[in-house]
Amino acid sequence: MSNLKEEDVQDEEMIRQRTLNMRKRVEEIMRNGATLVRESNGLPKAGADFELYNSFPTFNAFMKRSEERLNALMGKVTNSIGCAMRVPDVGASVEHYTECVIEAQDNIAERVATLHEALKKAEKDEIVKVPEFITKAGPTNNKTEAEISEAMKTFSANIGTVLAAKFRERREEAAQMIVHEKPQKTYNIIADNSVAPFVSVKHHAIEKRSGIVVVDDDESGRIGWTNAEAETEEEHPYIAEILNFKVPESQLESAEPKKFNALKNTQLTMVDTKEKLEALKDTLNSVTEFSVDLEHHEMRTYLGLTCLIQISTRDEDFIIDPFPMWDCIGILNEPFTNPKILKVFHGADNDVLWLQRDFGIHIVNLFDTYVAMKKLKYPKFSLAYLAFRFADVILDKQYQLADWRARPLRNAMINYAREDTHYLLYSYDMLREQLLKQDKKDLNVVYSECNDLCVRVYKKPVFKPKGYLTDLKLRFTFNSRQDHALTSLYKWRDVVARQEDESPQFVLPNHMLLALAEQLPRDVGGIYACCNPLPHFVKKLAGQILKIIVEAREVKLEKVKVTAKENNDAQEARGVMSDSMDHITSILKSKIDFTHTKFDEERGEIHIDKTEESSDVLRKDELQSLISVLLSSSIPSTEAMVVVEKGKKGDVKKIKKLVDELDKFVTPFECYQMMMITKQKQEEEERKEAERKRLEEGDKPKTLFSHHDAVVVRKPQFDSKLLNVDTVKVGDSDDTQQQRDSTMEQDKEPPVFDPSRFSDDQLMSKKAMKRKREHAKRNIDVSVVLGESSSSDPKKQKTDAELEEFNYEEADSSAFEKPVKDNNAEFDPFHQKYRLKNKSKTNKSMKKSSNRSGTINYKK
Amino acid sequence: MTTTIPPDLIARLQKFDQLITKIEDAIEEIDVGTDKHFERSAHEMALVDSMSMFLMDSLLWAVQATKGGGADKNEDLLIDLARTKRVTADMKAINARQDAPRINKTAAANFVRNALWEVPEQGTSTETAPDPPVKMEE
Repeated sequence: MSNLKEEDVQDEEMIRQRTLNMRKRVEEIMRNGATLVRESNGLPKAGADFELYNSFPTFNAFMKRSEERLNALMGKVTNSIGCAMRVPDVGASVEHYTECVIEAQDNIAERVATLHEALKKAEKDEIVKVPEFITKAGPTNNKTEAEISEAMKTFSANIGTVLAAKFRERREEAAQMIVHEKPQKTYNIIADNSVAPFVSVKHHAIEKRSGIVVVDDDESGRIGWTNAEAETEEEHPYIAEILNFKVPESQLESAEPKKFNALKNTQLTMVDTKEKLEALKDTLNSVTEFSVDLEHHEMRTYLGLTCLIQISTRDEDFIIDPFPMWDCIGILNEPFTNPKILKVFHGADNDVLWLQRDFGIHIVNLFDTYVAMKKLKYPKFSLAYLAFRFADVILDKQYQLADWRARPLRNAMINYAREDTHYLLYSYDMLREQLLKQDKKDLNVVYSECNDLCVRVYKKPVFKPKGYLTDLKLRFTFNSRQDHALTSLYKWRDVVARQEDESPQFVLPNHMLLALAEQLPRDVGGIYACCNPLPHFVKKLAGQILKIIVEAREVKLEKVKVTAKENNDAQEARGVMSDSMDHITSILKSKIDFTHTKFDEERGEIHIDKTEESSDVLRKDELQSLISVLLSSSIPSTEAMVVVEKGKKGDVKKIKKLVDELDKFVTPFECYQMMMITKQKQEEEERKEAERKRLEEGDKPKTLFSHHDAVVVRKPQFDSKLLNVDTVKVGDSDDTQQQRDSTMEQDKEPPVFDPSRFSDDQLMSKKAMKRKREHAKRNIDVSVVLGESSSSDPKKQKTDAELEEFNYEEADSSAFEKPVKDNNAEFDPFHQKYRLKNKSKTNKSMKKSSNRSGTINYKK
Repeated sequence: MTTTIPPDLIARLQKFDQLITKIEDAIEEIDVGTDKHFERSAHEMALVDSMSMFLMDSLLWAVQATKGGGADKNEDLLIDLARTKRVTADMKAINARQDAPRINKTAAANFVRNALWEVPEQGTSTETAPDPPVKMEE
């Protein structure tokens, strides 16, 4: 239950009332809007009356005026809620209006969606405040003049031509930016790519321990990288200073943020000579704070190369080109390590290390705006966002990934570089104020975190022979040959990179490395095929690569099992639990619902303040659940408590009976459990039975047969109704077969044979059939053949008396004159008549192509 | 050909005009400026925003009418209308939540307690336990 005071309750009531009023008003307005639409439908339409009425000046003027008013309304509505829209000019086309309106609607819809989400999540009576990022971000559609004009340019002109022009511009720029000679060569910057550990240089240190003399380098900045043998790699040269560092009071106090000067009013100094550098050092020693940023290159160098240092004070901007005076930059260490001067960075993690590595510059008294932004829980932590929020400037980030080694530096790049630091000091002021407002301790926390950044010591990357497990995303497991190739190539790549002072990625990109290891090409052409586009060093040292691959091919082929430990280590290094994921996909593919927690997937992990008492899951107020209701009324326990109405007596016996019944009652789940147990027992028993039986019986029935076995006499089974009375003797197997061929039926005793079911040719032998036919012919009753009389008569005559002579004269011989129709002659299933008719001398066998092959043509 | 605009059309045009005026006045009332708008509670802000969405669609419809109509064939507008409808429906649901009745704790407690009680029988045993303490949270 919330502990609200009287006033708060009243406030909430007020807000509730206000909301109710607002609802009424909103409903009213929406009703009016709907009526407006209805009325609009009643107005004259184009193609019907509209053109006619539009010819009337009054009508025309009225319509124009209405459009003006509606236009003004649109603008007003969107402005009042903070989603400004591109208001079309009066008289613009319907399409243009639609476009602008839809655009505005998109913005509003986005915000409404967020609000609805927040409202739905909230509890019933809670007054939901607008989520911070909506208010903090301010009007999301407030574009600066520059942006609007830029957008207008693109929209008004033909988009195609504008984009083509931009593309051309970029291409020309890129062509001009080619670095012809490596600056390391030009300016004689020596890099130590050896495996020896990195030794840092200490320029201005307070004495650490008495008895140990620390040899300082002199101010001229002659850095002897081998001189500082006394220092071990592990020790930070300024550890004493940093540990004893206390934030100056002035930095912890609240002060009015000092707005930056406009870019065009600020002097920019390009520092590329030793004298200018000295002057800069003096300037920096005289100020109380300055902002720093570095531009770094990592492609054409093994360890990395700082290409540019940008420094801004309150009044001036400086850009240092370190190449010409590489060894002298170290003199800047003085202001950098002065604990009284504040250095402002954005995202100093890497900058600190780069300064150490290249110039031996360390930092004491650092403020990192990135850390501050995270502490203040901004929606975005980028420098661009910072500049946008405080300077209302859109930083052109196209040069972020450009090659900064190029000299001379182009104006656009110089401009981009100085903007990175120009607004940083003002942003620092604003962030400091916000941190102090949020919580006095927060500023100290930020400083301590920045302190931790300063303590970091640069260490050279150590080559790990199996490093590819973590560095590369292996799509599948390699066999032993591929694994050997991969390991060897990985090492070779590193060696070449160190030698030539290039990055491994430049020598042989990861995907090409994997392709080579996978395919193990046999010749140089194959190597080139795997590496397309062909890197410079692959071409130059193709022979070495080929040698490695040939070696790998001779390795015995086995599947390499990545040990579980190696796998785990690799996965841990990537921060995931399985092979197929990395830290991005693990969030994307996660099936966990984050909507009710404070974790924002889009922004990633926010710094969770473990000191706070808050939990990630919103607790539902007890008002919403019925738990409290249940708690307030108690349930009678089985032992003693009996709930009764006041004044009436409780019946313990009845209650006991009830309780007993309840105990006897088996819940369905218990039934299921018991059933499962009994089923299991049954199965066990059955299995045991089967086992036992098998052991008892021993001999299994014969299931395999061969031709050595005696022939099995299988007696055919017939339906007893069908069998004949006359039994046929069933001989041994050979006779059986023959007899079965001749007659369909074989009989068994006692058979009942029904001859009427079968036809003559099924039952009788050929001879018997012939006999029967002859017999039938002799005994015909009526002859269908002409001249023949019934059989019975001639038979009678023959048997009775002598034969009467036949009188040929009286006989009708007309039948003999008629041509006898041979019915069978018409029977011509193979069309022989036709064939004989069309028989020609052509060699029919040659007509079909299938006949030709193999046919020897005897014709000469 | 008529030389004057028919009176019913004039009436319709006047009505149209009046409606625009009404909306103008109402907006004038509700408009408190961007900063104040951001200081509203989320519910109010959502109300005004969803109303604005609806209003924008209606205004566009009306503007199209001043140019001869045909807004019902304007596909983009119709799609947007569908989205606005969804938004206003969501808004209604959220409004309804505000109106929904709350649980009356005493009544609910009594209800549950009642369900657990049983009519005692006129029997031999007269053992009765003391009334269990009924805790009512406030």
